[in-house]
Amino acid sequence: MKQIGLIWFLLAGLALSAEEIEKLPEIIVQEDSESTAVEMDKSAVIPTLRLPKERIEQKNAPTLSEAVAGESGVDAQTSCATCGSKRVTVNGLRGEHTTILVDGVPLHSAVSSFYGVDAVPMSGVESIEISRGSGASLIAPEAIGGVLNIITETPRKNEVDLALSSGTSQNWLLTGAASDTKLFKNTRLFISGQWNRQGYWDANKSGVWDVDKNGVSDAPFFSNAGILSKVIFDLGSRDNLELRYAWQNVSILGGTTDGTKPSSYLAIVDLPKFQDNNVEKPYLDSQIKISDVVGLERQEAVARWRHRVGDSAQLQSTSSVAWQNQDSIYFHGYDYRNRDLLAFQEVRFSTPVSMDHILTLGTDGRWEDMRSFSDKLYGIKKLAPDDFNFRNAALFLQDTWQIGLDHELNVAGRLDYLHVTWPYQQDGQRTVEKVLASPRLFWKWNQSQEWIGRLSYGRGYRAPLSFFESQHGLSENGFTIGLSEIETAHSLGVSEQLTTGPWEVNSSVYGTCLSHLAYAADPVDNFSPARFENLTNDVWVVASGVSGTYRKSGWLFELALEDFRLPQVYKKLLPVAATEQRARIRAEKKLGSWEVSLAANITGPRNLSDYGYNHHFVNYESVDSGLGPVEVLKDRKNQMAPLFATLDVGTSFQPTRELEIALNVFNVTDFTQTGWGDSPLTWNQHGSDPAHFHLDNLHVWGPLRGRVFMFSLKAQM
Amino acid sequence: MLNLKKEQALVHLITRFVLLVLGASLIEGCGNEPVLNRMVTSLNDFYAKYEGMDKGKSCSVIVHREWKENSSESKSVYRVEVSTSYEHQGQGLGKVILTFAPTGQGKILEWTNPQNGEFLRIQLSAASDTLLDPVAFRIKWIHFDHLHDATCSQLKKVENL
Repeated sequence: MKQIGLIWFLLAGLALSAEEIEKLPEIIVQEDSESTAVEMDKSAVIPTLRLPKERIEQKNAPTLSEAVAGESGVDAQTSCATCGSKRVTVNGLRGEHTTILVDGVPLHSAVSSFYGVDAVPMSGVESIEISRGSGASLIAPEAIGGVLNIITETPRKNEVDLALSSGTSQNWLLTGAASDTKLFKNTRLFISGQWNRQGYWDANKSGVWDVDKNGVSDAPFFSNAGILSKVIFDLGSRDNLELRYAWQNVSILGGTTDGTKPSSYLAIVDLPKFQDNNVEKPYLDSQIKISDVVGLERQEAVARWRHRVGDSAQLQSTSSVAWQNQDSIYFHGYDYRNRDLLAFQEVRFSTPVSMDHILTLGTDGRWEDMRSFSDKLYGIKKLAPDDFNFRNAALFLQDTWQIGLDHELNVAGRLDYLHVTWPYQQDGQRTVEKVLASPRLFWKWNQSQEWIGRLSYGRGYRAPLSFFESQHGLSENGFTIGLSEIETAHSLGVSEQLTTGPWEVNSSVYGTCLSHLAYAADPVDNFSPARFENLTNDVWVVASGVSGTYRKSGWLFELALEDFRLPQVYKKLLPVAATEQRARIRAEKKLGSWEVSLAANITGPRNLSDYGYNHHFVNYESVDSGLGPVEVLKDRKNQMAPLFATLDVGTSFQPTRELEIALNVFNVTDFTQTGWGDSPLTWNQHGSDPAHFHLDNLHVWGPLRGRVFMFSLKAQM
Repeated sequence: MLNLKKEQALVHLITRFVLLVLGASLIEGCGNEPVLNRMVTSLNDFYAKYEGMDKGKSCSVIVHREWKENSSESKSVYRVEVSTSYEHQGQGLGKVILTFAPTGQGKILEWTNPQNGEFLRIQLSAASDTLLDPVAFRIKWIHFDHLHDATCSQLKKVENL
């Protein structure tokens, strides 16, 4: 059988060539046809959901935040409709409490949690593992909410994958990947690349999301690009060396509808003019006054060496470094740039010590320095930079204990030394130093052929590092550090998994007790800086859910219900309204070479006042005070987010194994919060003074982008 | 050789001027009527201060000098130079010169900067032709890049400066 592939379309200038004719028949291992299912790994003692590549591709997700949005336990929110800042949360905790690993390596920190999650391209990603609760990762104890572990592709065969997706509203996604196992002896190579764009300021504004046509965009223009390269050297039967390098870039331009890009900060920040001073009516002022521009570039380098010791022990050493540069100008009147360097080193040794026990002993260290720059904030306003130095060294020990056939226990402990310094903070606390012990326990009980029960307990911590972006746009007077404690958390999770015939049902409850939560207290007046303090009371966050999956005869049905219980004091400190109740319905059917799919996400109603949205106003009026007209906020923005649903449908046709054509429609009903009548634009009262307010674009509770048609072509050689 | 008569005339002139100034000072000290053409000789000198409250915090306006100028219509225009306690990190209005607002009916003294929207308005308890018995003032001023709007009310004159 001859395999002749001639690719007849061009992707972004890449030239594709004819494949050599194979002389012998090639044995092809067909992957599971229902591979879009998000599954709980039955064999794992740590409850881990696996989001496969096929599901990521089905979503046409170009970024990490879009890939995991709506998955069990995970919420991906836009916290600012102009700057596009994202918060990816697990178990209802904050975005800073989500740890992002890449192949188990911590390459992200709080600094990258705002824009860096959108820099991570999905090309070259094999799957994403979602682990919930504190202590979900042995080497990432700051995962108070949970861990998203991005697993990159491992080259197993010679292959080239190319995909082009083009959609309405100026959406483009180009991806390519190539793997080779035969170019060099005992060496496997993998390289992938991605370019993505969402929206563009074309002449007829087809790429602009301005649903109410008031002249201010509801969602920013966005693009990201990335390259991943991986080399694995199989050095004999005992050694394996993996080298990985990645480059990522993201560009965001928000607020403007005509592509006006600020090149410098505004000298004077006044109230931009709207008709009748109403943010839901036409904008009458300069586009420069409403535009944010954010650029971010990342580079990551990882080296991992595995060495087999004796018959079954393993020594592993991992070294990594990640650089991130951010360059931004915000319409609140300032420029901000930062340079972040995060280095990590880990050595671990794993060995079975008996038939039932596998011990892992290790040590790791983390070193992070962040330096920031701002002509306006530091040069003119003389505010103290939010630079920090973070040092962490730890020892860890883990015992995986197989107790008979039905019980497996994973017990681990970490001892961490933490040292955080904010070198330029003069007025408040400058250093926090701690030694922390973080135990964790995972117990898996095979109760029967069909039932698996799991119990998890973990302690996590987080050193509050970065604040400027935490208080993005609100701390025009800077901040002081009044922290004396590291954030700590205890998390308890109980889950049950039932597998019977075509059915799989998972149910879980996770409770997290968060102590010393860091937050920004309101400044005492309009000139004082925000003061970051530790909350004195503990906060309990409970996330529960049940999901059922049915797979048979080419059908896949999935139904999931989730509930997140957030205390009032905690809601007030969140940057954006969180999801509280959610339902997910998915159906897929394979019909020969065709596949059709449908996915609906339903978000429950919320009282937005709980999240401080009672400081959001639609308009203001001039009231004569006897000493001239005074601007007074008048009508509040909508305070009740309704129940809403979004629906995605898709179909794909695979005429040959190498070619796939797909058409997807995302947000079929074209639901946006602006279309519903409540745009993200608001006059935002700062602090307790009603006379102190600014324009903001953070009244966010629902989708900001409407219906998008995406046509895709995928080829594999 | 000096002309003695001219010298004597000069001395008389200077003496009368000094007496005029001293006499003016005495008159001010005796009654509440403002004395015009009063000047201070250093930037930190002031002769009147009024304190009030702004959302629980004290605030004040300081009077440095006041005078009348002849306008082109042969009417005299009252002017008063003041400064306020509203300043931060070296940012503030500093000293500004107020005149009576045309539509203030003799009760509002104001200064405005049409370039950037800054202004200072002082409200008097009753119509007057000088700064007399202010009850409140409102200030709009730029702190680096933001306009701040504040009102200081319940003004009372500070005695025993």
